[in-house]
Amino acid sequence: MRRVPRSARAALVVACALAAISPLYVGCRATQAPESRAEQVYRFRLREDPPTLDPAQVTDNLSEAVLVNLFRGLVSMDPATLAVVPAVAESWTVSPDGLTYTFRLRDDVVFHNGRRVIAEDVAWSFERLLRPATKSPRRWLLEPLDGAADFTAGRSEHLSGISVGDERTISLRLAKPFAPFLGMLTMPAAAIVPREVYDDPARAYLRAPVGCGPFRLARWEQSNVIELQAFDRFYEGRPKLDRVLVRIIENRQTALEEYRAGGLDSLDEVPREMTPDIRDDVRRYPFMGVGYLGFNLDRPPFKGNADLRKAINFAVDKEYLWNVLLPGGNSPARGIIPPGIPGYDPSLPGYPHDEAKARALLAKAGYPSGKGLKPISLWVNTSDDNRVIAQQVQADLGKIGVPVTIREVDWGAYLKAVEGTPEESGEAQMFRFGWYLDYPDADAVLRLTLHSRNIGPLGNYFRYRNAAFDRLVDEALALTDPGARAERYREAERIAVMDDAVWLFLNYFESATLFKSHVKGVVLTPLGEFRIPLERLWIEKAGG
Amino acid sequence: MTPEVPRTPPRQARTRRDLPLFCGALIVALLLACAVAAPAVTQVLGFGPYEQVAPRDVTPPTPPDRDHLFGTDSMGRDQLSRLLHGARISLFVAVAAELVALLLGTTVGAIAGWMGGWADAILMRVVDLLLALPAPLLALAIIAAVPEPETAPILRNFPEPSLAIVLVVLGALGWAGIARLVRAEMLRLREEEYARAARAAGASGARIVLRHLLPNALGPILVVATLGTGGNILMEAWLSFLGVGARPPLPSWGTMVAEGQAYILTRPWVCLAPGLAILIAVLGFNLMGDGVRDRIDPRRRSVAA
Repeated sequence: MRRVPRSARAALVVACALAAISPLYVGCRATQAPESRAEQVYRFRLREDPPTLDPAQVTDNLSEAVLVNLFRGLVSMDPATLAVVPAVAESWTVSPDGLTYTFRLRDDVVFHNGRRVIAEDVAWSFERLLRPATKSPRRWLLEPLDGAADFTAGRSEHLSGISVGDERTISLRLAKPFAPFLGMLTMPAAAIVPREVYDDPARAYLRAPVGCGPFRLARWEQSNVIELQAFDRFYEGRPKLDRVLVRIIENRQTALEEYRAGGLDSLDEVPREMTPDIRDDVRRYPFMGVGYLGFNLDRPPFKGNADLRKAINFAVDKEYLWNVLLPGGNSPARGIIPPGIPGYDPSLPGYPHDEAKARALLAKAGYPSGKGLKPISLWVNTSDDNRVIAQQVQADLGKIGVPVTIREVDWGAYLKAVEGTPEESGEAQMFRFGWYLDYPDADAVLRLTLHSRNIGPLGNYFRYRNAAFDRLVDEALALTDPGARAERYREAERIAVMDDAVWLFLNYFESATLFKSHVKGVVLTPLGEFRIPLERLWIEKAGG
Repeated sequence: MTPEVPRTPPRQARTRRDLPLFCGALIVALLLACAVAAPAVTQVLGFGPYEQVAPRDVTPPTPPDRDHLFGTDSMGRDQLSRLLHGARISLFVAVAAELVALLLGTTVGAIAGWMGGWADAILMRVVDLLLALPAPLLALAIIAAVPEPETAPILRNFPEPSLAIVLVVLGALGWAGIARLVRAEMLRLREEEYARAARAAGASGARIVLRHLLPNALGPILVVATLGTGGNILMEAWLSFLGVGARPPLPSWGTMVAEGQAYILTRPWVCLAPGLAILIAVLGFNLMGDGVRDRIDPRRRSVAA
């Protein structure tokens, strides 16, 4: 309240000063003053429309970029330290046997429709995620809960693993100890949603999501803009930003020009070609993710031919790709678990570029100099970087005689060709993929993308089946000792990398984002450029 | 401009009028030479359009130098070599597509023009329909509907299925204008003395059309075909620019412009070189087409003086 008179006084001083120079100008100004606080608007770019805004359906980072601002779960992850911190739950306890988690909810959390969040909402949201009708690709998140299988199969009305004490108390009971469970509750899919909105066969919530996060959806113009507005009754206090504009700009160059022209406050893709006007805006920070070309292990020629897969790994010059051709943003990968994640193995040999070894392995695989190999389809979703990566792989493989056809398609068509179903594989033989870890644990990449239980759209697009690998990953889940867990993960990674060469291991990710200097309060996070908490941002324009 | 127009313009004026034709023909001849010479140039240089020749420790595109007159592209491949091979792609697709269009268009136009009646009415309504639809969008839609040219029955036997579909689509969309022109020529020519004479002598319809009418319509057809070839070059480049034409790593000029656009401010040669190549090629065909038209059109001939 004190701000208004003060700025009015300031305006008066300015007006007096100007009066001496130009009485006419002051005449115009006087009608507008006193100026209230300038509207705080933050504009960032997405390259495509988010595929969904339903937390139960989200599997990609474009959707998450919007969703994390609309919704909250019981717990959150601190973006900087990656520790699990309170959100809708103000505190929690874990029973000594590691099976029961009891949460105490805040009493001041309200949904965007104005209703208070109570423990029943948590129970309903979790049941919704598990219900077969929801068809959630993230159902596994809550599968550690006791009775989850019965509930999903329709054998029980309610989830026996969830018990609601009073309006502010809820306990979750696991079937067996599962170390990463609390961390998984921080994922967007574990968001709490109001039943009166989401129990809707017409699914109006797809266009009008309602959560209890710091922002609410104001409008969504397909392929143009998504507007978020600050939620006044957000439990941690109204965000400093009044509005967030998520602008959909597919072309990287267009986005860059828009950033230069001042139409964007940040940009998720740093141009390869740095110019002085934006050089100081670049922020690079580690990011938990790994990039690869996946092999379809259910289709020829990769089916049952590890030597061919190893040959391809040796043939591609990853150092050249990431250090020279596309510098900044990536480091050459040797394996699966990215640096910084427990279980990362600095001594893993991987497949350094070696054409002679590649040729020898190719011959051993039954295709000397590529003889007998039909062109392999390499699928990528449309992007400038992917085009360079695909052509580099094509050129390097061409040198040892492996013919490659590049298929460049949009994201939807790409996913369709890659994911397949649990029963049948997609048509892509080889495909470029980046896997961002949803929670900072090797489990989030090893089990989700390579366990034989997750074959198909769940994440194991490669249809990798290895009992020894599965066992190690399962064992690690039940262990609470971090050292022992990391040891299991290292062992499992060695099997998948050195024995089976399940992927063409390409890169570990780094994030690089451009921020205008007037954007303040940026918390860089290994969770990725789209998980920077917007509720902590504010705009501070000099002279504005 | 003056009412007093000499029947044969003076020699000087004639040369000036033929200048576009000369320039156009020169450009087209040069393009052809580039396309023919491309493999030989690869031999001489020792590297082809797909080889990454830039130094392995410098981020491409590298600027023009003595070894690489147009520099290298974003993958470190020699731009000149890619441009020359791009000329092969451009010319092959454009000319072949125009031949397809010519064949279709002349056949349809001749049938419609000669037979008249209901055949004419039906065929010309099809032509009207095709001309009414925006060709670029139609091309885009057709190509999008064939996501896998590698598996399409006709296309998969071509060495480059992604080019084959562009060729077929451009040919299938380009014939309507030719058909309309040929029909008009047929209507005009079939009333000529020699056509009537041939008919009186008992010649069959097909013989009259093929031996007497079409040869006399050759001039206008040539003009449309030449202009159409220029249009095809532009369209192929445009489709490839959008990423639905030639597949990487084929050095289509359109693809090269698309790959170079990220560097338009900092390393302009990457997209300027293929851009200029498209400009010059289209200009060449257009000048040649205009020149031929001026040459054979008696009305224009007198006005040009």
